[in-house]
Amino acid sequence: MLEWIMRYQRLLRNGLILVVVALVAWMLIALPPTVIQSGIRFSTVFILGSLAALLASRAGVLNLAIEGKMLLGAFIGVVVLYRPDLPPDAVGVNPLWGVLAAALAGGFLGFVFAVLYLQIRVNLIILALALNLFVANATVFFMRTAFGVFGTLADPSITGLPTIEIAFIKDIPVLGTLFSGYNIITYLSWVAVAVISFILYYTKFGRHIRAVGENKEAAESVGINVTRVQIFAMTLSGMLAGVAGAFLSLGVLSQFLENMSAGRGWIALTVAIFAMNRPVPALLTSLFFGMSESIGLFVERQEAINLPSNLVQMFPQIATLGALVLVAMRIRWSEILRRRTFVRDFSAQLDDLKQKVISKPAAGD
Amino acid sequence: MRFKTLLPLVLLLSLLFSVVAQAQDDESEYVDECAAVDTMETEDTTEEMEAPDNSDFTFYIILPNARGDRSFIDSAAAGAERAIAELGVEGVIVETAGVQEHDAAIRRAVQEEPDLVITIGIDAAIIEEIVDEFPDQLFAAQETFFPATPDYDNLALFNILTHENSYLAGVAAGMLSRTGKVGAVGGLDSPGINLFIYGYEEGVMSVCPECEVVTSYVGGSNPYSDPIRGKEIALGMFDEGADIIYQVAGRSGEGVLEAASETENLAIGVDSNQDDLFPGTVLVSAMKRVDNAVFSFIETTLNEEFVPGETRVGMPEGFAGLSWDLGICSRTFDEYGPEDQVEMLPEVRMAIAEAREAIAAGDVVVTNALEISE
Repeated sequence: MLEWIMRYQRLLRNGLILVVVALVAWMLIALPPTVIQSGIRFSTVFILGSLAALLASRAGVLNLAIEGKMLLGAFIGVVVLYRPDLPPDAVGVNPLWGVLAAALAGGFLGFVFAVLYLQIRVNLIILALALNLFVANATVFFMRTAFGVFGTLADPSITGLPTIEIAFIKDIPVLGTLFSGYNIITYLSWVAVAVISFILYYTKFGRHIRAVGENKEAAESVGINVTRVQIFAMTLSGMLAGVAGAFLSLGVLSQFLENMSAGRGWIALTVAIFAMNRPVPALLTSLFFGMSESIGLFVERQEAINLPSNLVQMFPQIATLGALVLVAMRIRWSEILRRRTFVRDFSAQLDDLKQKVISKPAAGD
Repeated sequence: MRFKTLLPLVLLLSLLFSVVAQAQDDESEYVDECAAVDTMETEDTTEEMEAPDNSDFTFYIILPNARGDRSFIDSAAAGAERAIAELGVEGVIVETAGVQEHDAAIRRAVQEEPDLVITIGIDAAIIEEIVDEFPDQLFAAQETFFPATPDYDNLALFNILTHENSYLAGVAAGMLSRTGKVGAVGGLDSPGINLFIYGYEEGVMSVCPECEVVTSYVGGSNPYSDPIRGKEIALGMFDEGADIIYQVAGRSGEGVLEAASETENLAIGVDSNQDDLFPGTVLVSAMKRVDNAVFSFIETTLNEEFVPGETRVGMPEGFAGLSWDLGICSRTFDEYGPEDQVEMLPEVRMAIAEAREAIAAGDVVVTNALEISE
């Protein structure tokens, strides 16, 4: 098996990539545009959430509080727009203010998280879980005390983000569904991938983040202010998670519901781990997660296919498991291959050396 | 003071109005009972009396999740609040955060030794264990479906069957669909949810045999509190040609309603009266009067008429119905709905009234998903 893999390594890899590309192309053509758009909407939360997670991980902080920050962002975004006494024909606050407020709220929570962890040295995992629980219940509490509503904060004055149709592109068959007809946060999430990649790999601040994440002590010894870098990274991470939350409450819906993030922060965390904390793979993984969710829903409502719903709903999880196994196998095999190559090359060199050592006295004779 | 002077006037007006309404209806054959009843109800509310003092009677009500679904749970809580206000009893509403807290919440309530512990939609195994353990405590379990009816002297079971009113909602959907394709979005593929969906399907088919009904379930890790998935499912269905969706998915259903409002299609609400959440979008709500059930439970126990055993009620007993029915008389859709569909409403209501009679007479038997599973 291994020899076989070794021999056809390049062919295998290229073949796999070709299969994936073909599959994606087929999906883009065969699936109805709404399914693809729905998948991209699902993935937006994962993109922003996973960027938040990987930014924190890169700075050496395991950020388990993404779920809480997302929920806070979703809540604050709606609260800013909530004007129950507004006359029915008046225009409410621009939802962009809600997004901005959500980003600030998430950033603030990220900052508090960083300060509590770095300065007061609260246990990281307990702190994160406490924060998640706190936000989940505080939002409910404030809805009751401040607005007198149970569980749902909805009002005609809260308007969702408008979808943006891009001229020219929207009329092209496949590109139109791919790139046109989303709200600002989806576009923002794509830009964020580029910006975070740029920050991480091409700026001094990014290099400092990676250095701190790789080895805190080493970074400190060369004069990097570790605490400051981590606080910045956590604040930025919180802002991204806050915007992800605003996408749920203002992008998809236009209301806040109790615990509406429904575990998406945790999935985003998995996405970041899956993508090994790199922004572009995180984008691809998020798209994969989002698409598998929307395709699952699509398949379920097809009368012709008629699979039991419980089976279909396993699809994203099975796909994830399969992909995880593939990635793990790939890592393992490449490790084995490297070892084998090393042993082969080394033994060849050794043989060579032996030959020389043995043949030398023979030559002297 | 002002009410008393107004009362005769109101009564007179109502009489006039109902006579006029009756006269009109004779021509169109359809009698809108609500037009007459509305005015009669003003009579009742003006004569509201002081709540009697029953503060020595206490009850605990355990909700399966936090309030705020604007549906099932809120309805139960509203019933408890009405009992506190009207019967003058002492009551504590306990909200739990999910199945992990149910057992502890009930035990905590039992510790206080109230006269009655009401549980709403809590798993049968949890209830059975506690009921068995505390034989001196009266329990009332609502919306808990036991595999076999347990035999305890201190447990009353009360279940509302909603297949028949879902059938009526299906009749409305089948008649008003423009595309001939309607949808249903459930929380989970379980008998409790299919009770609604099968009834609805049969209702649609009864008036529109060539119609297609697409069913989908929210599923995922939070089937009843994931409005994002709910909305995406509904958007997909609407895109594929459905134009009316019945939502049976708790808080996830909010997403369905919003998708309908956004795409200018229709939705059918569930459990509570959801007609006013998106005026003109929510056609009608298939109501489950959990509030009345809670109220009647407290009332009967207060009057020392507690009867153990299982009671299954539904449309004939008035615990399930439509938001158009007597008692609610929601006419929001008449006011805000699309014109061509509003014009059809009298016809639809006629058909619903006929279907209701047929069900009552036993001519139409609606499938009960719970009995299939048993």
